[in-house]
Amino acid sequence: MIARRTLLAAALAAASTPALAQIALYEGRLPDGFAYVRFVNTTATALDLAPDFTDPITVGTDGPKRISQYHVVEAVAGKTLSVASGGGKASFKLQPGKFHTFLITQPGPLLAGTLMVDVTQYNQLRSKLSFYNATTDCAQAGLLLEPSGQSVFKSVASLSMQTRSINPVDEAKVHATCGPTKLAAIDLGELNAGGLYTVWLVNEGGKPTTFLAQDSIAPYQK
Amino acid sequence: MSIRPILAAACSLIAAHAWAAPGCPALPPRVPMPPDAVGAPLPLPNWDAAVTQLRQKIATADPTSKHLLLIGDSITASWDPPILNMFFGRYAPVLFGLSGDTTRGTLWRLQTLDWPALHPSVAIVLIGTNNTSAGSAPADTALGVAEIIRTLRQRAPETKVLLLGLLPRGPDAADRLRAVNTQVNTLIAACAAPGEVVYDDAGPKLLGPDGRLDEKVSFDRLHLTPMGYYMLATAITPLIVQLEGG
Repeated sequence: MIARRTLLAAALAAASTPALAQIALYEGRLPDGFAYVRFVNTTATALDLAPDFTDPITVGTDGPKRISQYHVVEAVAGKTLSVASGGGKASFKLQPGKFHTFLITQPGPLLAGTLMVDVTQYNQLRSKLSFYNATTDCAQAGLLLEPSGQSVFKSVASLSMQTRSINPVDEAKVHATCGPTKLAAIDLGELNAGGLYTVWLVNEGGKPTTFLAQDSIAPYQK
Repeated sequence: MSIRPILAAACSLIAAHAWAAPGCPALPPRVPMPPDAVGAPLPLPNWDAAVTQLRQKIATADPTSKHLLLIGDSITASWDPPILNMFFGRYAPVLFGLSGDTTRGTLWRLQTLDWPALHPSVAIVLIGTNNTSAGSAPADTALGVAEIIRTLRQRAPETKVLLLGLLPRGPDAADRLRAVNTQVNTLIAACAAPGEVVYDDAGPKLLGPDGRLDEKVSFDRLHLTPMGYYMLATAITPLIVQLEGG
């Protein structure tokens, strides 16, 4: 058996040293006129969404079920898109070639949300770890390694995200912070090279909570 | 008439079978082997440098991790990064595609690869359309693909293989080279072997109902656009999930 891979702490440390800096094998290529968007339910109720560019989507309230897959939208330049739910409707514009996350913050007739342009990095040799502060009441969030307390992400404002690439690891545990409050640790498990992993901070039942999800794209439909 | 050539051919045939690795028995080695089925560097500009660069990339891949190895030509080398990582990121994909490559060059690359540096759980093989461009006979290209399967079975016996049919090329079904690719696919489909090699012809899923290859899918009617990769990834994902065991 070959030696196990480094823990996340070592991976993070290595990521900052020139000796292990790795050349990205490819640059992100922007699909002409295409954009990607996903929906995230930050509210307390499950939502049936009716986007005007793809089939209906349901986003729940239980951990990763809050997150939809990315959906590919064609010819987005200059186009206003909308999503309807619970008698309300929200509109937004996507940037060609970019990945977007639409955080739904208000359900019902006054449906409202925040559109984020995601920071993307693609590398065959590294894992991508992102952290989204999808709460409206946690002004400054952070993510730290467990149990060392080494910072992975810090000062992540409400309704914003940060991302970084790290060396693959076999196992990792992290905990989030919301201001001075330390949240329960979560197990990230194995992070593979090329994998796209996101830790989400949401408000669930009046309390901030975290969970892990992998980014993915909805299958192509003719 | 001299008996020497006959004896030489017989010896070669025996040797070929004696050394034949398992895999693709429907397309056995033959004597003489066509160039498409014999590994060798390709006489293309910068080919050696590109191979070296690819080897260096492989050497930097995490040796303790299982990988999804994608083997092929420029179609493999040019996978759209977001699509590749979004669909297959959790399987640690490694692109082992080389622009302009044929079965001959791919065989050579696999035969000279430092296999201990890689532990592919699954290898996706998509190679041969450049053989078609070069005028190779479908049977020769197919034999080259079979030799690639045998090489994989020999060097990485635990690796499961997803063998993809050559993708459709040309604007429509009347394209002469597309017809050649279709003939190759008919032959290599016989390489499927339960538990070892899965064959899939994803090509028809890239085509319109009239058999046309839209430029939104393939900008030059040979290579794929991001939309083409999106459609291909959607088509093969269930098979990869199955081969990876979830």
